[in-house]
Amino acid sequence: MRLTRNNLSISCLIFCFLGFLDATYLTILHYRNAFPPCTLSGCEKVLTSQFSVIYGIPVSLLGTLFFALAMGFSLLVLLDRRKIFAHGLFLCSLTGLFVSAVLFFVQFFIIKSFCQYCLFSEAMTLLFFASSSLLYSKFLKL
Amino acid sequence: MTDERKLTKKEKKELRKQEWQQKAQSEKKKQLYKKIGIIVGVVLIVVVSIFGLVELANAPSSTSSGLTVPPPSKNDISEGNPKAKVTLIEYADFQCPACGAYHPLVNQLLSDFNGKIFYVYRMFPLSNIHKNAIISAQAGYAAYKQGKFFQMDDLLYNGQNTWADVDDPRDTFISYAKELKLDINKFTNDMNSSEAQNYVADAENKATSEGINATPTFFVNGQQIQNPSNYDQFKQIIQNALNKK
Repeated sequence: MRLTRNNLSISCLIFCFLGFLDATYLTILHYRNAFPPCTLSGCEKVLTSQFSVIYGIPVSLLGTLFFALAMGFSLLVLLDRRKIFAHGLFLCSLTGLFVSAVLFFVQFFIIKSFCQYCLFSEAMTLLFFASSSLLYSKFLKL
Repeated sequence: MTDERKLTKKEKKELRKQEWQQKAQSEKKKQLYKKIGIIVGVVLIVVVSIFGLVELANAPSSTSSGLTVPPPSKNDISEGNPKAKVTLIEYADFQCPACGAYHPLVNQLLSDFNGKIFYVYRMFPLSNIHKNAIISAQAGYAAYKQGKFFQMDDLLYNGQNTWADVDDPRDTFISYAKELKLDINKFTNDMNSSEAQNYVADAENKATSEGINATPTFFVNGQQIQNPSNYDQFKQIIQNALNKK
């Protein structure tokens, strides 16, 4: 696949969509007081830890909103060549990467357990950041 | 052709300009439709996916019959009518957050199916990942010795966040025992006794040898169930078991 602006925007859109599905699934289960099937030991520990909710808002819901916003930016960049949207997309992915890194460290150092749904979401954010960085570099060369 | 010949140079130029403008306009329209199509497509996919996820979250848990566990015995910690139509066995760890989250569901079941469920609690402290799993199980055992296991069980689960990560949670457990008006000396001695240690270790070994590898693990009438996603599903599983007989 050639790394054209269109292909990179579509990659961003796909990674954000997958992250959106993951976060939305966890959000639905959270509000139903339900649990997803966990294959990693300690997964439930992460999902029910004090870090899974910030000021009463589940982190998964914040993830859903983040990925929805990122999908919006990806679409805008795909459909409109204006630089402002590329700035927005890159800033969005950078924020996502930072938050994901924090959440990963919380799992690793504080909770000392991992949840596959959280790891998947973090992987999607990383891939989204990689795609959006490449895309942004192309915009800067304009 | 004759008409065209009559056109002046200026008119021809104007005509070409008009044709070009029309072409540009139709191209612009095409682009606009394409953009609208992409947006509508993405929105549709997102909406359909959300519906799919809601369905997935609602999907009923199927029963799985991978494991068999011993039927309830006199040594088991139990609640309810032993002759009830449904026996619910739970393997749990007081420090396991998921067990804590299922705890109110189990209590709700026992209340909704009062007299129709015989509930057995089997200890399975996950000592390798929960540092206070063993001592909390011993506290449960000490309360059991005074006939207040299920009251202690409520306090242990409700206060899980308070004691789960402290270095020595014994004082917290003693405060629970005080709350339950237990004989504190006896409770403390029982909690620290080799009898309690052996009971808990034995329960852990038995669960491991039976193939239990996670908590909570539930068995309805001897058959393992996949952990239900919500109370309604759990209730339905019990109702189905009641209807079977």
